[in-house]
Amino acid sequence: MKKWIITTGFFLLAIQITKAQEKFYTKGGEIRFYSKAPLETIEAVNKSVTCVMDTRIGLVQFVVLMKGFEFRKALMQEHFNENYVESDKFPKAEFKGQVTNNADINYRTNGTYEAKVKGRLFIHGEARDIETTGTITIEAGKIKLNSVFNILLADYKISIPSTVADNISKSVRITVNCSLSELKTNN
Amino acid sequence: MKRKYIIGVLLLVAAGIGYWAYREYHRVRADSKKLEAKFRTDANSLLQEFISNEAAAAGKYAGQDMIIAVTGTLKNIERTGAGHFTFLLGDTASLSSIRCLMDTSYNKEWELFKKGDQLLIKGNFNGYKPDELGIGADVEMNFCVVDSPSIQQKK
Repeated sequence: MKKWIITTGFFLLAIQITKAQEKFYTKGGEIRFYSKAPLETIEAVNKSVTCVMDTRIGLVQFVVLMKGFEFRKALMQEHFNENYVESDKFPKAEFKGQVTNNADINYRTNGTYEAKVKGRLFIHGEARDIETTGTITIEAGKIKLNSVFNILLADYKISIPSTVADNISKSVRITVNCSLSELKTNN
Repeated sequence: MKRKYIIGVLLLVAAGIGYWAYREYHRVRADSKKLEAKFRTDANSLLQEFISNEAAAAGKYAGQDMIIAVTGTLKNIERTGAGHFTFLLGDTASLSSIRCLMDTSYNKEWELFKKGDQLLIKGNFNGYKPDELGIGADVEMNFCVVDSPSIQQKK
């Protein structure tokens, strides 16, 4: 009887440890966007990106508040929120996707792995399929996600007024940098 | 004579408009310490407003440069490698928080604070993230500053 209790105890503990190592998250990730046109370079950063990753199946989800993007020029930030992404109407951007080569990544061994990611990106009330590459770095119990990809503003129905159409690039480069910590259930 | 006078006035007006446009184009965000909060509340009430009726709360705090002031217990301090401070206000037993991304211009001041301090933080309201991912709900603010009396006490 005693032996059975000890065995069950160890088994439950093993399940808990395995479970704890499956989910990683951050609420302080970083996403930058950059666009360059002949007359205007637009750059902004959001340092409060939420990201959750389930390493068991490679699920990854990002949530970002549009008003959290910081620009150097106040006027640019105002135009971005009011005229382009309409932040009060569409406050969040989200990405829900999967690491398609998740089996190639050893989350228990330190190192940098090439990752292929596929999913849906929601911006300005529009959703588009995205397929990109990046790196996953495992280091000291943390997971670092890095990726750079381009999106077209027209895909998300973000319209540019004709008067400034030449000043603003039609595509935007997105750079993602997130360092995820293990999600402990007693957090 | 009259014509010269009109041209002079027009040139003056054009120069004025040009100067205004230049300043407006290069304008940087105003210092949060100098801005007046439109709403004052506490951390738990603010979170509760969104949890009970997200649409109504979002409408209340909508708009550009929505400065709000929030009181609460400093439950955690997060610091990134780039030197950014994030102060978390709220109940230490909960995963949900008011996340205040602090204004980097005052980083020296933020080093003075520690967990458990009672603070009044003023900053720009960014929005609300409901607990859809199982990691708590958050209200986010940026360009945050701690009000002057709290800073004076620390100094």
